[in-house]
Amino acid sequence: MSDKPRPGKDKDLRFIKSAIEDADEVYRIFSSELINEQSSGVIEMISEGMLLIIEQYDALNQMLDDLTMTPTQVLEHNRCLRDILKLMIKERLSPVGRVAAVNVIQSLGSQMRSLMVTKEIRGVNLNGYADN
Amino acid sequence: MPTMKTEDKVNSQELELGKDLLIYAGLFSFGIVYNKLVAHMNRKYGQHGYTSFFVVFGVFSTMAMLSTRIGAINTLKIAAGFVSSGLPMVLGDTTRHLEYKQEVAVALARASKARRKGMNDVGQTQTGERQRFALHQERH
Repeated sequence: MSDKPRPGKDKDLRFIKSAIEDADEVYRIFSSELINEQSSGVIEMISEGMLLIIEQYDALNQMLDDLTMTPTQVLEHNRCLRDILKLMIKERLSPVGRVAAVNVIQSLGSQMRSLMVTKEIRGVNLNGYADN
Repeated sequence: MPTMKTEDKVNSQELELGKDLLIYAGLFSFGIVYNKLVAHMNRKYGQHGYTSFFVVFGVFSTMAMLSTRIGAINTLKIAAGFVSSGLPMVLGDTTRHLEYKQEVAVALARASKARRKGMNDVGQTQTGERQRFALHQERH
């Protein structure tokens, strides 16, 4: 019996749940702290970011039930969110908005770590399944 | 008689100084209002790309008010200097802003595409992934 973590087992589920918690935190910050920003450019980015997070929720919840589902799509959403954040911090955010952006970046980094573990457990790399 | 001439000269100088101070006070008031306007624009529109134009308008307004004191020729000479030094800055700032806007458009388009891929192609993507996963499981 191998000790290697398997999809749907404790470690796998724990890290998926951790990724869901990070998505929850990002959504909370978007919807409560960053939503007060007045700049139209920032509002557009926040809207897109919130939609991405909703998609992540959906995909991560499916991953809990479906053991064959891989985190590829969620990783892509995470990458898009990071791109949006990179541009958002160049905007003229309020002091509260700047702190909120830092917290979002922190949560996205934490989610990325969890997704990497899940990716390894489910035997997938970004181009497909690992063969070794 | 010389005393009267000196007195006239002093009065004239005081009048000129008064006019100068009036202009400076006007410029100071303009600066306060203009600062509030720029702060409002920055808050409302974020990266609006008009910062360099705000500077140009501020300089233009200052010179327009000062031209009443220093004369049209002097004003034109100073304006030519400002145009020479300011034009590259205006062009550079506008270019940087357009590049930034393009980056934003690309990032938003990529995000939108990633979302659509998640919604529309979920069947195809997951089928492909399941097949590869099954293959992976078989091999191990």
